[in-house]
Amino acid sequence: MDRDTILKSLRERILAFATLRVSRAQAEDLTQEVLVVLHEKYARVTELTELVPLAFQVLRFKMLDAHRKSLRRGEYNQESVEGLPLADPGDDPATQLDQKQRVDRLLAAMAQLGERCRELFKWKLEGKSFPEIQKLMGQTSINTIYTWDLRCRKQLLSLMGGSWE
Amino acid sequence: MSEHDFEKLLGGFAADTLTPEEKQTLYTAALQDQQLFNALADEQALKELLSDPDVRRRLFASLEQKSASGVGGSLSWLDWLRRPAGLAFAGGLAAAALAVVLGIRIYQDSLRQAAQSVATEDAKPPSPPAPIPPASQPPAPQTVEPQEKAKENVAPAIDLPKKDVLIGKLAKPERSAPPSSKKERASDVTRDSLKRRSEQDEVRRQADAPVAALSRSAEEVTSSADQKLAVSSAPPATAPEPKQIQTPAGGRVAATATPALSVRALFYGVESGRADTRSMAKEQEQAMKPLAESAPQANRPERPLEGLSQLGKAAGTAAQLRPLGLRYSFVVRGTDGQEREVDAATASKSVQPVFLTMEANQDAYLQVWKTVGSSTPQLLWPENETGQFSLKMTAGQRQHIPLPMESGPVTLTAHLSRIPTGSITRQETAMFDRLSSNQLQESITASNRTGSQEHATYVVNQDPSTTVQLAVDITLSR
Repeated sequence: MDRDTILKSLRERILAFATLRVSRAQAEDLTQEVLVVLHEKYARVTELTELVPLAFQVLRFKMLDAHRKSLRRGEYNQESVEGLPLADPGDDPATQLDQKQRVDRLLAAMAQLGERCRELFKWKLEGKSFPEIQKLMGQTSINTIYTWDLRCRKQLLSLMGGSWE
Repeated sequence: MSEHDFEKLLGGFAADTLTPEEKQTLYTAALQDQQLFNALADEQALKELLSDPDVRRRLFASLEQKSASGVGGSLSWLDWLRRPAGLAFAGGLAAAALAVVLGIRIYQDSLRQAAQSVATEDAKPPSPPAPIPPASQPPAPQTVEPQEKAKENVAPAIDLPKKDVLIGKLAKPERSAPPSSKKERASDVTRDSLKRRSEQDEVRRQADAPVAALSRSAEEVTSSADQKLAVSSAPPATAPEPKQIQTPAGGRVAATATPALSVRALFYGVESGRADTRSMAKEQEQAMKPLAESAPQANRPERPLEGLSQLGKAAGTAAQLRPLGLRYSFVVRGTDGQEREVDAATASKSVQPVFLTMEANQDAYLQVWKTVGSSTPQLLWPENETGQFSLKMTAGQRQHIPLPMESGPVTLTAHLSRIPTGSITRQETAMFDRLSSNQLQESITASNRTGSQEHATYVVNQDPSTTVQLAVDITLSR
């Protein structure tokens, strides 16, 4: 699969995904901005296994930017621009607090997982792949590890409140 | 891989632990499947968190700490209870404990009820003896050897004095009464232990002269067998007091079958359903007892059956539904003041006052009608002064009724029932015949060594119902 084909498919998927989150017009703008970044800044990335996760990452950043821009423009709460703080090139305290709270929620959720799930996540945090985890956990079938991981991830998502955000 | 299988790779996407092959498969599928693409996009937030080394280290430390505590000691009971398997195990354990508790309680209740039922069973009167079934068996084949017939006749001959009667004698019902259950038998033993003990004592007393008794019984047996088989053999010369066999005084035809036990035995409530030889031996002892007991009571000729009468009385109170029976006899008071039983012919010719004695084997109501010639029946007993149509008789107590002094044929109709009897018409008295299909009648003429004689007639209705009635005609010609 060449790069243009991948980008064409990516455009369709990103537009459909963004339409679920924002308006159609904003979704098209968002999709266009993602593709521009991929085309201009990451023109050398041609592999599927690199280009797709890169697209997900760019998409997430663009959606967060759009969210911040709307917030800054007062599209959510019509406040005067004089009341807004000055821009900071680093993460603003709100973002830092949000990430800190997300990490705390993740830690609390992981603490409530079962022994097997914690063991599984531990192997994953150590960078072990599923086949390696299969050997470490002494399972004969890789599908067993897949199933355990799926259940553990759903349980963790449920403990997190249904969203990773 | 199916769509479900692609979801399994999502976990590896966030932790970035997918192998190149898995990545290739997952991303290719994500470009074709919008839902998978959306799921991967949502996982991007977690992937971003896990990509931070600091967050990753903190999570790893948290998991390591948990693992160490889990390895070092067992999980807390709360954690263990949170697991589904733990919940299921705890629930099952609770259910099992509840079942055990309930089972123990039910078992104890059943034991208590069983004990109560046993106590109630002991307190309850014994069940009435099973009535002898109607004659349904064909008569014994006549081709049997005479000796065998004599053997068959040994038991009744030993059991009872010589008997006759039993009209409609061809059929011989077998002793097919069902054997009592173990409980009933146990309660019988408990209830009658004292009584039977006294009976056994009496039997032991009889055993003081066993040789004489046995020889006499054997002779009687032989005599009876010979008579029944019409074999021409002389009666035993050594028999001190041969017994005579008489037909009943009354003309009422009642029985349609010859029972295995005599009517007198039925009257006194001898059970006929015992199968074991021990019980049979007891029956024989009970049946033979009057013969032995009559000896010391020579001055009271109407009392030779007192032992059985008392036995019947005790059993009668215990078993109200045993066959209803009536014993009647004629008693003449001699010049010496002593009473003696006589037969109907003697009573008819006697110039001395004659009494009709009536005895029921259980509490019952008696009325006696007198019919002179073809006149209208008149109530002879109870007397008019009582204002009642029937009087209650206590089991075992004999009622003396003066016989009418009218000359000519007199028919006395005795009517016995468990329930009080009202006024009765002549037509109803005529219907007594139809009531007596199960009625057996037997006249006994027994003598003993002391010279006292028993001239009595026993009438038993085998119908076990509570509404059973018993009627007998006694014809006299004075």
